[in-house]
Amino acid sequence: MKKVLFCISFIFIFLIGKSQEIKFSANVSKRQVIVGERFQLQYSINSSASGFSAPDLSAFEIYSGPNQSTSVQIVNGNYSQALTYSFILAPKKEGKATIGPATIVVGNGKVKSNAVELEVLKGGATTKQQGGNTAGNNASGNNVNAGDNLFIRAIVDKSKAYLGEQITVTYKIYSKYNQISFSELKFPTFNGYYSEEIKSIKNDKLIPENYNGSNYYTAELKKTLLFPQKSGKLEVPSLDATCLVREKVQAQSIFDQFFGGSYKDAEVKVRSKSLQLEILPHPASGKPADFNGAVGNFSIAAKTDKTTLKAGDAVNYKITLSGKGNLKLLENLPIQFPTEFEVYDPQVTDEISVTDAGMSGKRMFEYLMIPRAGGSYALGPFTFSYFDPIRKTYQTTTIPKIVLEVEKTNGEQVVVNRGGSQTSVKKLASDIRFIHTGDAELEPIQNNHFFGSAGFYSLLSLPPLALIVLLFMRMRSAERTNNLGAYKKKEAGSMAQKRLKKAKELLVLNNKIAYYEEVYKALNGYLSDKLQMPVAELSKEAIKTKLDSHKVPEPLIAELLKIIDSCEFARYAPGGTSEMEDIYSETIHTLNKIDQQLKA
Amino acid sequence: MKSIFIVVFIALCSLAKALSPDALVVDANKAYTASDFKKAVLLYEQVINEQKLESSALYYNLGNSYFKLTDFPNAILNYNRALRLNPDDADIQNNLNLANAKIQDRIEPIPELFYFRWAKQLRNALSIDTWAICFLVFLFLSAFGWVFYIIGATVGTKKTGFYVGFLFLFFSLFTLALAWSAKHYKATVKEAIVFSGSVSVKSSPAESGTSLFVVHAGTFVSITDQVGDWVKVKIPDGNEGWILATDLEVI
Repeated sequence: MKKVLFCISFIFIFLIGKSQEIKFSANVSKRQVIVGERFQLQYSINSSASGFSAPDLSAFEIYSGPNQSTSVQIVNGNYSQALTYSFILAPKKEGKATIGPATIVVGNGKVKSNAVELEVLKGGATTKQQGGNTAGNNASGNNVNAGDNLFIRAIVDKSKAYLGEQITVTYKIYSKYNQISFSELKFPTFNGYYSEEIKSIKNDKLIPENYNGSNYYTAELKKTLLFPQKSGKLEVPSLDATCLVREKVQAQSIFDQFFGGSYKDAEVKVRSKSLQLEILPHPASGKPADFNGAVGNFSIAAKTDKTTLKAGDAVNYKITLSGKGNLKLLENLPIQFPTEFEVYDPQVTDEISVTDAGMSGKRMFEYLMIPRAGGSYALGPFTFSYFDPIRKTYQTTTIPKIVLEVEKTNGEQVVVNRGGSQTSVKKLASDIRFIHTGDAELEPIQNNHFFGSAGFYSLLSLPPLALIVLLFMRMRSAERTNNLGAYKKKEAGSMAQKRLKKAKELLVLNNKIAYYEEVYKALNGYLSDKLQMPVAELSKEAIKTKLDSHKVPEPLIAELLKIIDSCEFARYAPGGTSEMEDIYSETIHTLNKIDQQLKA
Repeated sequence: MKSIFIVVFIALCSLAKALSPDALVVDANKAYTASDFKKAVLLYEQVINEQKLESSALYYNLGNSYFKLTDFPNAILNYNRALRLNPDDADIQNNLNLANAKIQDRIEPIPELFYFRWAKQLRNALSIDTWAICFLVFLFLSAFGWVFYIIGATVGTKKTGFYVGFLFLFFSLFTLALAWSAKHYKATVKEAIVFSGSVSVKSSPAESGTSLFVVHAGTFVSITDQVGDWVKVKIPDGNEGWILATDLEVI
């Protein structure tokens, strides 16, 4: 039982001890601060911790921090550890400012600090009293009316400039106090410009100057050359300075006056007004194709260290760009080397001075080239274009032509390039293909096409029509072939007539054999057609049976056969003309009768 | 009196010169070769606008002149016009690709199915009228085949005539389909180039419509519909919307 109690009390004590240990607190060096005045913010924790996360400090300017420091103490065998995070801050706005709690990780849990409230006073100048009579050394400070007595001006030599044209900006302090020292100078960063500081500033002496009707002591704080990198409205940022001025205060006693009066040192914060510049883009009209942003006034020269060499030897090609303008920004030169040359990146050497007059001097580009094959190569002429902001025009200078005579060597390199192995065609650049210069084959602009026109349809209808006509004709002739017998039957009479007519002519001529022949043929032909029998089958018996079947009277058949007989006979027997005439009339008579009978 | 005569004479001469479009084209080509692209543009446009003449080469040369003047929307417009007249010209396609690389919008076209692409290429291989003439030629050849079939004396001739007739009939129908498709494409499919520097494409044909996306000068669009002053456009990546017809130049 005793043992258990002991254990419980031990744990309890341990817990109390542990909970007492962790303390995370925030402290500030001043509760009342002036806008822009620095103060320290400190977080401390008496335990080992990690993962510090600061509160929102956007209402303050952070000069430094978080700075971490650790201290370890062992007092009388008691081990204690402290961890501090500190910031140096300055408030941006007047009024009440609250710094929220910070958090930190201890072991597995998060610990929060307290929040801190600050009172921020209006800016101006606090003074530190000094001198013979310090008048009570009051810490509340006196304000110095700084407005007209102390200010900084940013002065530019032009408010309108072209892209890349140099602008000189001078920050100058104007003061009615003849003694100033700077406790802090915050130089601006120039965004949107390439800037180059002019070093030749002597600010060890104050120079009197009359400005707006008053006399001031002036000093140049900073002088910079600016090269605008984008067009449009660009700001020249302001410069902040904290100055200590020594001001004479009215003597409060005769002793003070005797010892030269009393002075007080005042801390004054001043800020130059920011300026707006108008940056014009380079004019589009007449812009050369090779223009690469050079602005100023330049001349260019080129030389090589030798003009005759052997393939594989190195040659130095030096281009000197001299003049005034944005020299340091010029990196690419419009040079196209012969493809047979191996060219290394240029070595750039500057002899550039940055003075009040601007940036001027020389920039030299040295190219090391190694020709890989023999021949005569021309370097240039290349054109270099720049924009002259004074004349407001583009200028083009020419890099003169240099001819290099490269002697062929029998070395390996030449063999490699020109010998057995081939190299693929190198593409140097892409450009549009040239215009078509041949016959333009101009045609009237129209939306009418042959396709769908009347001509098209008439041509389209031709083949089907032709086929239809052909088919029709074909059908007609086929019909005729099929009914040849009927046709012959129909035409038999007229055929006989024709034959007999011919026979009649022969009769007149008294050509007996031919006459009978013709009559015989007429009869045979007529019978063959009419009875639809081949001539070869026309025997007398066949004729008789066929005519019988057509119901031709017996005497008529007999007469017909008699005529045939007499014809056959008479061809070989003598006979008179009267006989021939009888046969003729009889034939006509008989044929007419048979024809009538067959039709009936 | 004399001076009036001279003035009239000069006017006639200039008229005569202006009336010769081929001479204008030759002059323009000379101006282009001499890098006087502005003059070349003026002369080429004179042939098109005043003489109402056109040809693939003319549009191509005009496009080249605009390209050299860095007026890429006009260059693209004229290359497209040239391509419509001569769809298979490698020079035009090459320069059009270069001009398209110079404009602000880079649009990845939706890849077409290969058989659509082939069909399009085949259709574009010849002009509408050439396809129509091919159709007629095949039709006549087919008719010849049928003639042999009809009047052929032997079975062999008839058979050959029959098959040849069918084969050419098939060819003729095929070319007819291509001619019809090409004519349909020309008559109904309208394409245009955006000419305003930057245009918001709206969801509806009204100023109050939601802006869907922004296209810039030189972008190729297909016009699919029109409501009043607004046209519905489709850009090659498949996005659609409405813009004012005045922001476009129809190819």
